[in-house]
Amino acid sequence: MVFSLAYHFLQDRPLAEDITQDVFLQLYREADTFDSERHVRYWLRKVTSHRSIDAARKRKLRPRLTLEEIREPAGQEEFRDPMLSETLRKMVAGLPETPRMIVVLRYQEEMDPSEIAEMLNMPLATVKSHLHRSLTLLRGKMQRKKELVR
Amino acid sequence: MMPEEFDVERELRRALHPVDPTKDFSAQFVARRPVAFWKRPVGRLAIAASLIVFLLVPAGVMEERARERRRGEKARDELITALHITGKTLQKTRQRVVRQLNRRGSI
Repeated sequence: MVFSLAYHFLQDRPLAEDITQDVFLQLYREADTFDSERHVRYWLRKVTSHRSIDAARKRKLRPRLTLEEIREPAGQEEFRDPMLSETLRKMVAGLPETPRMIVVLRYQEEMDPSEIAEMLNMPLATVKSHLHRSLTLLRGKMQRKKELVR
Repeated sequence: MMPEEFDVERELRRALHPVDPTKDFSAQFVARRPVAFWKRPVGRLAIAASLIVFLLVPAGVMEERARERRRGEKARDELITALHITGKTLQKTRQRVVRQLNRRGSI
């Protein structure tokens, strides 16, 4: 969960591993403060999210790949192979930090928008708005690719 | 073939599937895990150094005090000897003076 969250957000394996190590080291130090497994899971997601966003901002990772730079799937059959997922992951990586983290938390961790709002300390409406805009953007981009294939 | 209505949510769930870190990640984490200070080589060295200092400093202080005491005793002995010698010299001088006075008196 921790590594996946950082990796899907950053698209940078070494950095995601560094964050994962730091998060678990912190967990190790604060092990006495948790009262349940749910609390630990919540804490892990929260700390990983914030650390990943901080890391992305520090290293200015966001411009690594823009939506326009993403390679299009070559043919119709490829929408069912791993290339589609890869393309979508790269599109997610091109989103700004906050909506990107919201998308990762929503579709990797299956968190409700209300849980995401609480975790990221933002209004529920903002989370829903980011989700809606991100999905519209990603869907639109994929539809344009489909038209290009035709 | 891409469906007419692209289900972006379903595809996102597929794309963002859990991934594992590299194989040696666990070993790296264990290596970085904080170890109690006294279990680390540096910690052990520091404790040993502290013990040595703790044992040697009082021993050195005691040795210095004993040396000072011996110096004091030696100085006292020398003073007593000097006083003793001075006393003897004074005694002899006094006896000589007395003898000379007696001689004059007898003349």
